[in-house]
Amino acid sequence: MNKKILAAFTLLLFALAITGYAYSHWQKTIQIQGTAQIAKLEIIIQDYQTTLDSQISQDSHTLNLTGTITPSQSLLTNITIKNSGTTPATITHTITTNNTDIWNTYFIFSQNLTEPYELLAENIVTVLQNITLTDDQLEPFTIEVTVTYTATFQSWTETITINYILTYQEGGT
Amino acid sequence: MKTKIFATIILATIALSLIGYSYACWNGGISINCYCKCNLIFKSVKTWDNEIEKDVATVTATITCDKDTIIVTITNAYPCYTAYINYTIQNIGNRPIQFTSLTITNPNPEALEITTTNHTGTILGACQTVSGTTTVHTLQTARENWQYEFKIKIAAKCKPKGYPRTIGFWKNQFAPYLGKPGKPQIPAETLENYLDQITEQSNVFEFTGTRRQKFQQALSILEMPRRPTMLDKLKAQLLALWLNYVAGWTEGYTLNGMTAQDIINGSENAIIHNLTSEYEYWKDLCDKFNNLGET
Repeated sequence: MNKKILAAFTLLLFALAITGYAYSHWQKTIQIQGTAQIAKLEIIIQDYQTTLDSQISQDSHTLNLTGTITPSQSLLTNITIKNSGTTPATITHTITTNNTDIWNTYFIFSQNLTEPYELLAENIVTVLQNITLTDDQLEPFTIEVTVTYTATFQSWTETITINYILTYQEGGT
Repeated sequence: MKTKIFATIILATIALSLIGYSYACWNGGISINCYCKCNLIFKSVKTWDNEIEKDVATVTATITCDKDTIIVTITNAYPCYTAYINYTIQNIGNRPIQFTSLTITNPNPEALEITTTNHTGTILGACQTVSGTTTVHTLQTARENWQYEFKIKIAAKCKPKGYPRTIGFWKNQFAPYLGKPGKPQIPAETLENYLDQITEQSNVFEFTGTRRQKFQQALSILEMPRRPTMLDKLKAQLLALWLNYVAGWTEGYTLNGMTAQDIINGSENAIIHNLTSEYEYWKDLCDKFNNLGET
């Protein structure tokens, strides 16, 4: 019994000593915890209307169009571009082809908007692509036209591509 | 045998306690007034960013219920986007606290550049506040559609209670380092640091040269010439008050409603503008302030 009492007293003394020591060594840390979620720049081909054969990639970034073209025919294609990212995107386009002499091409935004066009997040814009054969006196051939729409925001870029592969058909309808 | 030793120790402890208690009762009773508390919290936080024309990204910050943490959330950040978080820390204890360290944990320095005010070494008196700013800059190499985390830890400890020391105390600190008898309580590096701080902040004192030269200059002012003028006396007391001030030993003390800083400013103003009629007034105030710890 005496031993228990002595042990209790001793423990009490130690506890008091530790409490005093702990108090004299008070220290506290306050903190700032942060999370930075980074934005995304992305445009996709949301929709299109064409008379040509078409195939779109799984990520909706590339549209392949194939078909024939006859003299004086105009090929009209509507492409709906969606800003599926979280930032505004500034849209511009470029055209590359293996023969610029015999084709008249013009590409416009359907709302008569001018380039560079700023497309806000989750918004869409429709572009009209018109390809017309200007020289009717031709030998049969195939032409490739690639139209690239580039979205930029700060240092980020993102592109979608429409590839035409057209075969000349003499005297077609 | 062990039991006897324990019993003896405990009996001695109880006996000493009883003697102390009896003596205290005989002298008017015991009054325990030891409500000493050290604590600090985030008092407020506000945010802004560097966006002017477009509002693409956002930054928000909230203080948690325990007021120990600020949660910062930046959404839709992009290269060159910079978020600013301005916060205020308050000492809600009744003792001064001192900031001891700053730790920035940024696992993705290629994506985020984080800078923050370093409070280390700053002493915060009871109820006082201090503000700081954290800047989070998104770099070009930040990955799109990704999430980064960061953490800033600010540590503080309870500052041991300090009190103003007399001119004699300060003489006894410098003298031993100049070959005179005595045992200093303050390390020479700390003393030199005090003199450098005074040189930087004071309009009256300037300590230059080697450490020994600085100590000699300080001791000469504190000891005064054999036949000191009132200006010499004022400068001696003013230097002692400066030393108390930079040591953080004037925290929480006031004299006639004036803080140490007020008295230092008044004394230096009198010296700079040769207001000789005020020398004695300010000398007395410095002297009394330096003796507040003795009462």
